[in-house]
Amino acid sequence: MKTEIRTILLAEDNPRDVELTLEALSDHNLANNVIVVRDGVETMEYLRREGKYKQRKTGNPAVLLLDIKMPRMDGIEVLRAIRSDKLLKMLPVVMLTSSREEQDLIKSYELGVNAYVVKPVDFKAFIEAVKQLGVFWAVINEAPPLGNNR
Amino acid sequence: MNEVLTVLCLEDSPRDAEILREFLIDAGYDLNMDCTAAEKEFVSFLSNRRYDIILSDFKLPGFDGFGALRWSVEICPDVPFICVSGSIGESLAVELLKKGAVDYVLKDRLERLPSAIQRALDEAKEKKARQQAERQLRIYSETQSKLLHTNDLTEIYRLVAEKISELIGDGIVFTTLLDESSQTLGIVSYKGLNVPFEKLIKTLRIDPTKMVYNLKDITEDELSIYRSGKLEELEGGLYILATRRIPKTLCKIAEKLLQIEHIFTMGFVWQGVHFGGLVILARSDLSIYKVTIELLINQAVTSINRLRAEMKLNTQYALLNALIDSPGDTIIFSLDRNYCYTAFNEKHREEMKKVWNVNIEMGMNLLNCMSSYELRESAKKSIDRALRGESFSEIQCQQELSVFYELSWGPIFQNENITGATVFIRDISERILAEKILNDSELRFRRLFEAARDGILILEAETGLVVNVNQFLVEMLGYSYDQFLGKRIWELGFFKDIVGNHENFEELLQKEYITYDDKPLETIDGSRIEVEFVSYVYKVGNKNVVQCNIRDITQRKLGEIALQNSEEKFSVAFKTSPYAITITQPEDGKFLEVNDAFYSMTGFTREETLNNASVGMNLWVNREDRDFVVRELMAGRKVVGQEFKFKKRNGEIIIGLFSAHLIVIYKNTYILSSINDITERKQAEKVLEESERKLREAQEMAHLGFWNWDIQSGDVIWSEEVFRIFCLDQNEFIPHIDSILALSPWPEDHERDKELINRTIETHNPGSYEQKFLRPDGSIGHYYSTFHGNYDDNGNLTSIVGTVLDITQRKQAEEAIQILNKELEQRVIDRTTQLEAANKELEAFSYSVSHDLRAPLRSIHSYTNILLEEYENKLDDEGKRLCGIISSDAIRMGGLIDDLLNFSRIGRSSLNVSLLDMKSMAVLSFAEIASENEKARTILEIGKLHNVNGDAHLIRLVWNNLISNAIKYSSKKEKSELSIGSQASGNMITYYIKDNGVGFDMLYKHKLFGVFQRLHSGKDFEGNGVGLAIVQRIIQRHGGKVWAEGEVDKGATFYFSLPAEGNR
Repeated sequence: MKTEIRTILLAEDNPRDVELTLEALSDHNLANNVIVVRDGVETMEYLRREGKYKQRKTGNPAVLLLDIKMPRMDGIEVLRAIRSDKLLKMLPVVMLTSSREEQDLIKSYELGVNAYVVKPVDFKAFIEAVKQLGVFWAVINEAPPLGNNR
Repeated sequence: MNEVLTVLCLEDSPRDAEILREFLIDAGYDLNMDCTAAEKEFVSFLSNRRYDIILSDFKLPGFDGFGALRWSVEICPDVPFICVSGSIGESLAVELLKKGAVDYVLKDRLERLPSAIQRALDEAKEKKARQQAERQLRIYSETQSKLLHTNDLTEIYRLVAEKISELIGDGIVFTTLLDESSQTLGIVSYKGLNVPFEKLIKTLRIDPTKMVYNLKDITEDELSIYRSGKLEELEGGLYILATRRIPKTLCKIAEKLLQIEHIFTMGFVWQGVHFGGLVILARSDLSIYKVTIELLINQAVTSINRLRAEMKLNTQYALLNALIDSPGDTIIFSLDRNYCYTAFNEKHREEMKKVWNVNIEMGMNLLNCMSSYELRESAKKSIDRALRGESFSEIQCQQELSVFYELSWGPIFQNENITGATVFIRDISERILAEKILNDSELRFRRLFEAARDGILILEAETGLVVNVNQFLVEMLGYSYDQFLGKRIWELGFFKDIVGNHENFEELLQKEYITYDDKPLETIDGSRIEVEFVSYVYKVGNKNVVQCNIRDITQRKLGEIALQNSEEKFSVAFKTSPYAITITQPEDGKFLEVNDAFYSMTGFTREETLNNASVGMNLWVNREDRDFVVRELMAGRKVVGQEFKFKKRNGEIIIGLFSAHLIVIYKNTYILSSINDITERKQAEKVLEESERKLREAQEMAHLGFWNWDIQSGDVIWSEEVFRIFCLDQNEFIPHIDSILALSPWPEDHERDKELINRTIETHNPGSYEQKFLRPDGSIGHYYSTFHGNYDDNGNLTSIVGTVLDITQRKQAEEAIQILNKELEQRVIDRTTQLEAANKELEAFSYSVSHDLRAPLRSIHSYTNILLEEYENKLDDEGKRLCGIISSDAIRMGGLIDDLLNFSRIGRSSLNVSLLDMKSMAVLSFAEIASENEKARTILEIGKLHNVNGDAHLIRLVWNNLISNAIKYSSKKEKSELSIGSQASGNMITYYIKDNGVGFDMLYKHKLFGVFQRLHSGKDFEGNGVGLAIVQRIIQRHGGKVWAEGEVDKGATFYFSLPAEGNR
């Protein structure tokens, strides 16, 4: 079986962080498969194929890289919505955030997040972290069985 | 000012303590100050010395203001506690005040301290005085109401001893009593459980089972002092107590042994006679209790006097009853104004049974017992005379029964009112009969004599012919001999009622003896004469002869009998009367006759009296009294029930109830008078009055009002004090249950009071209640009332008596405190709300920082690095260096933000407390933190580490920080030497970590634990200065303290303490 590069959904409102994240993912040609959404509402629209994503192809992304602090609907709310959605609840979700606040960690894990990564301030550390994430979830990790059938 | 102020100062900074000392001395206090910073010493000071005030710092090593406050409230709650602190938040201050501190003063505003101290001292003094006064008042009013009900002398002694003991708290109270004969002195009761009584009696060799000793053990001198009531003049209360020959030195030893420094003695005196006393042995000064003790004693003496007076009255009553029953042949009874019995003797009861077949009882109406209308009317007439105040005698003859009675009537006086009548009745028939029989036999002896003083008629028995008649009869009837002789007896018209017909004559012959005295004869001139007719039959030779003796008894019946009876009456009245009765000449009071009661009352003998005159004997204390009596009598008025003073033979003065009227004997006028000795009654009345007066005075002194509520009428009697309490005018306000209820126009209160009173009445216990009332000016007052019911013999409530105490001020103070407490609570609630809001804001703030502050930093760092990588060729060396600086500072700032967030998180997260194994925590921490290299060059010594309650995560942080510091700062030595251990003291455990590193200058120790404060440069030792701040915050959150000792290049020791029992 040839290695298939799957879609990564990146939910991030800060354009600088988006740029840096894509920069990190571009090293392994992962950047092309990244869909960027700017807030929680847009994230849910994409996942549920609503609004401007009505026409998109079926299928869930390999992973959702989710920022916590976003306008309109924040990351925690998105995670809660995903975990309580019959079709989405198995979607791998990784928190990618600046915050190390204990309450965020607790809530995220309580809601069943797959990983929680704090974005380092250090550029190299950041690039390295995101790169590893991308490779792991988009390439190495086996997607949940039902996720791709849709 | 210059008063001595004893201060306990809790202050860890010697410098601050010195400033405080100087400041107080400057403020004019003569200072006596103990100063400490250690909890243990603080507690020991508190326990062993009496302080005026406690000044406490808030932050102390291993200890804080709350701890100090807890100790001081527990050990000496009365000593004011002022917190003197460098800085203290308002919520902490409020918390301190709530827990019992009286004030707090900031160190930079010490000028407020003297006024704060003065206010605290004043308040403490006032509080103490108030408590003291309230306690005294409570004990006093309790005792008073108990004493009012007690009818047992011993109980009074016991009660007084118990209450005084309760009052003074620590001491022995003895009450002593002389018995009736003043022969025996006893320790009636003692109290005082705080002093080992057994020790005392053992020392003095008193046998507590025989606490009565004869007075012969005591010297005459001592006894006279004792009887004078001046116990305090005796040498040592202890000595007289035992009334035994105990060496004085022994007493001194006993005093010393029991630490008795104050002895208070007091004697009980009644009618000038000492009959007991009180001795209090106490360790503390009794002067503040003196008034209350004296009040209690007065109360007791009043009660004792009341009991004694009652006992005396009872005795008198019993004596009177005995007197009534003493003369066996005399009938005595007394009636009230409704003709009902108030007393009667056995003889009268028997008589009434015999004559009227009635079983009489007390309270029965005499008139209703008599079934004869005539006798009833006659009795009523006599009683009414007596009830009008007349004393008189009368004779009643019941001839068909041959019974003669002599009745002596007299009024009963009570407080100059006539409340009833007494009767002395004597049966004198036997005497009269005996006289008659004697007369008959004399007649027989005289029948031979013609000149008999009785008329004699001799008849022939067979024929009834008059055979002979004597001169006396002829003269008596006025008929001639011829009119008698040769006639048959039934032919004599004047005899027809006696033996004037055949049938009667036949009867005479058969009976041989017949006598009449109720059949008068008619004389020739038609007048009737009362005769006694006695006939009998005897034989003269062979013939039966009838002899009739006829005696004129008109005189006897009309005069002689009356006179004799009158004499009888007089003698009986004389003999049986308990009153002294005299017959005297009006002009000089010369005695004609007096009765036995007079001798026993006055002490004079018969010889002294009958040859003398009342004036000569100085019987009258005031001559004018006698003159007045004579004047009144001569003017035709009576003297009834007047009180005069008389002098006895021994000079003693008695008070007599005096009645007199004029009598005529042999044409001479005399004064018949009776004297009733009412001295004792008067004295008893006086004693009662006196005790009532004392009670009233005691109540006035205590500002205690007294009321008496008559249940039937609803009328209420108020003492003056009650009017004062209610601010009402005695002349305008009439206390009645309705008018009093109107003073408290709150219906729900009435219901409550009613229920309370009912409950108390049911149980027959004394009760109490509080009530508010409206003063005339519209203001509201409060009173406190204790009360108890009085019951009749059937247990029905007749009246309720009680006391009233004005407690308005106390109530107002209570209300003010309540309002103050409410305000304080509201303030605390407000503060808490504000604090919660501030916490929320802080949380939101740090959340925001956590998310938003780092993103720009990351951008700065990342883009700088991209710049460096992608534009390497276009940047010269300086450009590259500058980019490097931007990059590294962005990283550093990221670190600072992380530390700051950690730090603030520790303050906010809740504590998750469990028991921690500190030893394994320290070992693990070292293992985690030290690199292999560091472990190799470190000598670690871990001593005993106490387990403690705490948040595992946070305490681990403490260990991590302190151990890593120790390793870090000793890294420049050849070998790091670390020593870790703990020590428990008081309720705190202190842990320490000692290193041999670079140490620090103690001058900057206050900066050690500040956020971002560093004593060493980042060049020498890495770090950002948050570690120790975190340590301090964690330990403080656990209720502990952190501090450090060190010296440059000589190592440092870091201490932290945690509460042994965990934290709140």
